Amino acid sequence: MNLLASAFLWTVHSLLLSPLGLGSLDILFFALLAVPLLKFVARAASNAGDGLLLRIGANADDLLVGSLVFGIALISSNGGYALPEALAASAASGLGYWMATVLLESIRERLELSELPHPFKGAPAMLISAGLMALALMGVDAAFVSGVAV
Amino acid sequence: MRERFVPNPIFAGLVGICPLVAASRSLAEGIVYGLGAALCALLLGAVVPATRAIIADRLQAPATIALSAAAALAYASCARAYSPPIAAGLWIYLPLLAVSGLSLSTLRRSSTPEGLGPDGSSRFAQVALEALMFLLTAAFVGGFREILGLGTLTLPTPGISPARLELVDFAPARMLVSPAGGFILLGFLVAAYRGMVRARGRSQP
Repeated sequence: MNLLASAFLWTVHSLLLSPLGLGSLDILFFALLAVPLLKFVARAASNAGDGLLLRIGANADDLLVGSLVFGIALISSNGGYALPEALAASAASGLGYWMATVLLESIRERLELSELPHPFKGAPAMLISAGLMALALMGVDAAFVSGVAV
Repeated sequence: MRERFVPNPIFAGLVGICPLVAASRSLAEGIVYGLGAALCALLLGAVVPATRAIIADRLQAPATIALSAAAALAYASCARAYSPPIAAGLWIYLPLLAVSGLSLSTLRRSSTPEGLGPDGSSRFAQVALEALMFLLTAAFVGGFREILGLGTLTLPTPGISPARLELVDFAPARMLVSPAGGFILLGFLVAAYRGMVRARGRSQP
């Protein structure tokens, strides 16, 4: 969904908004065009397939209006990305989101079996775990990824 | 007192925490972001119930998202005119007010028949209270992170150079102004809020 949205939004921004000088209205056009189109694609996928496609279609409503899709679209348009760069960014962000979700789910299962003080049970422990994981990923980014990019 | 208690949308409902953690790195940014989210939620809470009778059901979702986007764009323009550095610090999170957690929860509440109270004002009053609490919490989180993280306090003054108070001449815990530190701090604040609510519940007759 992220790849589809990113491709569609890059096309709208580059071929429609920028030539007309309407780049500052990008999120308005994204909301008007992207959300209905991608909902249609998601529903078509969930009706046509089963298993994985059904789950994608069922979760698409929440994903489409989430910060991930719009955020990557805004980053791509504000950063002047070319289409391959926008697609790579959306794919990487989707993979990162998936990785974070899987890791946090495994952490959540372990936390449920742990003896925690009552105020820390559930969301607070998850937030602290997410922060610690983000700290580790920031270290990886600073140590490895940024060096590769340079 | 108990009937008037409105759960904090951030600490109780975990509404809009991701952009909040990323955007609210200072008092000024917290206030500007929180004010934008509150104003968008108020607009949606006022307009969406009125449009339910006018707009067809299958057009409700895109129309309300577009309204939210328009409100976010207008606010972003005003914020850039008010203080370019603060608006630049909020980066893409100003346009993303269109899909902030507070806006989406207001949309969901206002778009369902059950979301309407006996009269429209009761639901709007609840939206207004949540918006106010979101603003206050965003300002608190931003100020708290800035004081503990950098030892400064940036005031939301207009112009190209916001006023900044230097409380200490060193950064006590610089990690707190990063998103990772924000999540950790928010986890402790949510735990403190839960402990406080639980203690109030015990003291209630």
